[in-house]
Amino acid sequence: MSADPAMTASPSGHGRQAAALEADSLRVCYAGLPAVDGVSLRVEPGQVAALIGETSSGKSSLALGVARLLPSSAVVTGRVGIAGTDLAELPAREARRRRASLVGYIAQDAMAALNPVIPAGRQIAELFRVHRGLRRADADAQAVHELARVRIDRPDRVARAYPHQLSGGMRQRVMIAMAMALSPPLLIADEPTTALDVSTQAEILGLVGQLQAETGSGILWITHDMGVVAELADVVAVMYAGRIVEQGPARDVFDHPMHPYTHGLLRTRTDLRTGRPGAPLYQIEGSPPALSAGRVGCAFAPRCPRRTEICGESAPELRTHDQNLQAGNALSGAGPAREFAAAASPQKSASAAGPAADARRSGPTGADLTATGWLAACHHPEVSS
Amino acid sequence: MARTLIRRVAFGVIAVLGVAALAFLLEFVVPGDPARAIAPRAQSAAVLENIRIQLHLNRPLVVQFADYFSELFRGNLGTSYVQRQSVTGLIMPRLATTGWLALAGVVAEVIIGGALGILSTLYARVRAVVAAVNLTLLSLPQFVVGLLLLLIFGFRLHLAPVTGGAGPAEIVLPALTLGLVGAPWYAQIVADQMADSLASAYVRSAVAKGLSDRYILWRHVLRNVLSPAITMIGMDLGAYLSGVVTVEVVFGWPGIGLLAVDSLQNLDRPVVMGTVIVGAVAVVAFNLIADVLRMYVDPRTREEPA
Amino acid sequence: MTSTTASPVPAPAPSRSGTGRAKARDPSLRKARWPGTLIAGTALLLAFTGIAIAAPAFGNPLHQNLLGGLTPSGLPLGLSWAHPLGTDALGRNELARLAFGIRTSMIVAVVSNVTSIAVGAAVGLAAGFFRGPVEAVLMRVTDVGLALPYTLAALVIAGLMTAGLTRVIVIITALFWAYPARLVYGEVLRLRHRGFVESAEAMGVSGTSIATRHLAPHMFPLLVTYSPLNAASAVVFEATLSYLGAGINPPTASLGNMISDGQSALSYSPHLLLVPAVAILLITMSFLLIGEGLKARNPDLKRVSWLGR
Repeated sequence: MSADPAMTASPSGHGRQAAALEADSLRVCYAGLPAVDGVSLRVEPGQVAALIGETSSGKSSLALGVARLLPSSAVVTGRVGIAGTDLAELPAREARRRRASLVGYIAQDAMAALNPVIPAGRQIAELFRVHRGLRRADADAQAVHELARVRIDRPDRVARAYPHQLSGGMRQRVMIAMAMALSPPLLIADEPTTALDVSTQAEILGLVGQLQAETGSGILWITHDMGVVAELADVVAVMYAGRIVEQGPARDVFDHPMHPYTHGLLRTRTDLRTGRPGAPLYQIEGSPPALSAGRVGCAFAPRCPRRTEICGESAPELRTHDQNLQAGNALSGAGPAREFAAAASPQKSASAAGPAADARRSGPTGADLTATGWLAACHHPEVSS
Repeated sequence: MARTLIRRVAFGVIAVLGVAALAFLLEFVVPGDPARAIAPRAQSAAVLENIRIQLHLNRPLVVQFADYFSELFRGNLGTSYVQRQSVTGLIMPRLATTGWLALAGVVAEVIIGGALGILSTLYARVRAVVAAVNLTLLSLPQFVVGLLLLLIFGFRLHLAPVTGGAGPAEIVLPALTLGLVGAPWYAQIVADQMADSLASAYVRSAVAKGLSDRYILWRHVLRNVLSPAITMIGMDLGAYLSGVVTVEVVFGWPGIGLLAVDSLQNLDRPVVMGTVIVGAVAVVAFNLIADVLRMYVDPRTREEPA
Repeated sequence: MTSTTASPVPAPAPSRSGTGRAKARDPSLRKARWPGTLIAGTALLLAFTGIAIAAPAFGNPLHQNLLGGLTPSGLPLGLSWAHPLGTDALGRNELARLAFGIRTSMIVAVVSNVTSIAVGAAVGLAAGFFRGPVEAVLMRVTDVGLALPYTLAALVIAGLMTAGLTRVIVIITALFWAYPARLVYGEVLRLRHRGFVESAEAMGVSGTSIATRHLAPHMFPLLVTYSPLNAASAVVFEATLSYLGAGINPPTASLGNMISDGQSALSYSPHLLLVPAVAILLITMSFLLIGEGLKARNPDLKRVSWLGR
C-alpha cells in the first residue's frame, strides 16, 4: 500500500501512469432509471479505495458496471478504464476473454458465487485452463498453489472440497484466490466481509492487505462498514442515491466530513463506540429515495438536517469546498482547492502523499474528478473551524 | 449417508408390504369365484369344491393371508391358477419386455423434454411455442396420445406397425407416447433449474472468469439441472416398470401391464398379486437408486439431513 | 424534468421497499392479479360447464339410428348438417354423446377433486399436528398411497364395484388423496416452527383448535392452487379408466369410452377418436391454465409442482 514508485512516477504528457481504475461519468440504468448516476472515480495501483453507502445506494451496480458484469437489461454508459483498457470498447468475445486478467471480482456471498456442484479447486483451475491453456492436472496443481497463496492450510484438501463443505471464511478465501489468480491490476470487493463473523472479517482484511502489498493491485472495496474503511482504505468515496456525495483521503473524510450524509454515517458509528449507556443512538431520519429519472434538487435533502430552499431546487455538483469560505458560498476556484489539497496532505499518512500530489497536478474539476482530491456534493458543506 | 439409506430402505420395505397387504385384502373382496374361472365348464359342485381345496381357498382369510406372506418372505410368489406356472416364471419375461419399453420411454422423454426446456430457456422467441406444446401434451391422456400416433404414423403414413408385438419396430410408437406425455415435466424442471442457474451468482462468477458461454452452459448450468432430473428419471422408471398399462393395452405390447389386466379378468389372484408387488418394488427401488445417484451428482445431498 | 417536487421542505421520500399502498398502485402487480392464463382457463371452463348443464339440448345420446345414422354399408357417418360431428358405429349422434361425455367429465372433475383433497388435507393435517404414532402411521400409509401402481390399483378397485360415476369417484379419491396429504403435511411441519403455533400452544389453546383455527386457514391457498391440477389429473384419469372398461361403461357416454368405442374404426372414422380427444384436451387445458394463472398470481406457491403424478 505504501509508496509504490508507480504512483509517484512523473507524468509523461497525456499518458501518465494508467490508473488501476478510472471511471468517467459512469451511468447504470435499469428500465430508464439511473442506479448509478454519473460517477467518476479513480483508483491508483496499490491503493485501496473504499466505496461507502447504504443498501440500494448503487454501489453494487457501480462495481458490476465497472467490471461490465451486469445483465443485458442494465444500460451502462460512460467510460471505464481498467489499467488503461476499456472493456466496452473491445469486441464482446475479446472483452470476455480479457476481463479476468484485468479485474477480479470478489462477491459478497461466496456461497452463492461458487458453483455448488464443482469442487473449489476446480473452479480456480478453470481460469488457468482457459487463460493459460494448461492441462487439467497442471491447472489443478496451480489452483492448489493459489489456495496456498491466500494462506489456506492444507490447500490440497480445500481444493477437493465442495463449497458447502467449507466455512464462510474459507469460501471467501477461495473467492479471493479466484479473483487474484491472474493477478489483475484491479480487484473489486463487493462487501466481502458482511456475511462473516468479526474475527473472520479481521482475518480476511489482514489477508487482503498482505496480498495487495505483494501484487500492487488497486482495490475498489465496497462496504457500509466504517470499521472496515478505517482499517483498510487510503481513499474514501461516499455514495448516495447513485451519486458520489463526498470523496477524499480516508483520514480527512473521517476527521472532518463535509457532507451531512457522511457526517450522519460517521456519527452512527461514533455513537456505538463512545456513546454513553442509555443515550439514544444517532440515526439518519427517513430512508434512501427510490430510483427516479428526473430528480430536481439534492437527493439527500429530504433527510438532511441542514437543508434550505436551494437544496430542493438544484442538485449540488461534486466540487472542492474551501474550508475558509462560508457555507453556502459553494463555488470555489481551482486555486484554493489546490491549496487545500496541499495543506491537507501533511496530516495524512505517508501513503496518501502520492494521491495528494496527483491532485495538485490534475485539479479536481470537470470530468477529471478523481478520488485523490477532497470533494463534496453539497450546498452547505460542514466546514471545520 | 449410510443411515439415511438404511432408513429409506426400511421405509421402502414397509411401503411394499403395505401395498401387498392392501392388494391381498382387496383381491378377496373382489366378487367372483376363482374356481369357476379355472374350470368354467365344470358342472358339479364337487369339482369346484375340489379346486377350492387344492388352492386352499376354503381356509379362513387370516390363514390364507399368513400362508401367502410366509411364502412371500421366502421369495415365492405362488402359482398361477390359470397358467399352472410359477408366478415368478410368468412375470420375469414380461418384466423384461416392459423394461425395454420403460427404458426407451425414459430416453425419449429426457430427449424431448430436455430439448424443449433448453430451447425455451435459451431462446426467448420459442418460449411461447414451447409453453403451448407443453400445455397440450400435459392435457392429453397417454392412451389418446398413443392412439393419435397410431392413427398418424400407422394408419395414415404407414410408417409404423399397427399390430401388437414387442419387436424393435413395434417399440417406436409406445416409447414415443411415453416420451411425449412425460416430456413437459422434464421441460419444466429443466427450464426452471436453468433459469435459476443462469441468474445465479456462480454463473456471474463464471462469466467474470472469462469462460465461454458454451463452457458455462455445459459445465456450470446443466450440471445443476442434472440432480432434479435424475430424481424424476428414477420416479418414471419405477412407475413405468410397475406397468405402463394403458400404453401396453393401446399398442398390444406384451408386458407386465397387459399380463396384469388379463389376470384381473381371469381372477388369477396370484398373478395379480405378483404384478402389484413387483410394481411396488420397482417404484421403491428406482426412487432409491435415483437418490443414490443424486448423491454422486450433487454433493450437497450427501450430507445427513440436519 | 418537472419542478413539481421542488418544494423547500420535501415530503419524506417514498420507501423503496414498498408499503401496502405502493403495492396496490404498482401496475405490474395489478396485472398479475388476472393473468391471461387465468382468464383463458376460466372462460374455457365456463364454456364446458355450460355444455355440461345444457347437455340434453344437444340430442339423445342413446338413440341408435341404425338406418339413418349409418352409411349404406353400415359405417359411421362423417360430419354433416344433420349430425355436426357425425355418428358412431351404432348410429348414435356423436354431438349428443360428446355433450354427455363432457357432463360426465365435469362431474368427476368437481366431485372427485373435492373428495380427494378433503381426505388428503384431513390426513396431512392430522399427521402434521398429532405427533408420535398417529403421524408415523398416517405418513407410512401415505407412502403406500404414493407407491401404488395407479392403473393396476384402479383396476383392482374397479373389480369391487359396479360401473358408474360412483366407482370412478371412489377410485380417484382412493388414489389421489396421498399427494395433497403430503403437501399439507409438509406445510404444517413448516408452520409448526413459526411463532404463532408455538405461542398458541404456550397459551394453552387446545390441539384441535390450533389445527382448525390456526393451521387450516394456511392450507387454503396451497390447496386452492393445487386443486385445478388435481382436477385436470382427475379428468385424464376418468377417461383412462373408462377407456380400459374400469370406469363408466357404455351406453352411458364418457369421453374415455367413446374413444374406446371409436378405436376399432380408427382407420376409416378417425373423427370418433378426434372429437372426444379434443374435448379431453380442452377440458384438461382449462384446468391447467387456471392452475398456471393461480401460481402466477401467488408467487409464494410456485413450489406447488405437478410432479406428483
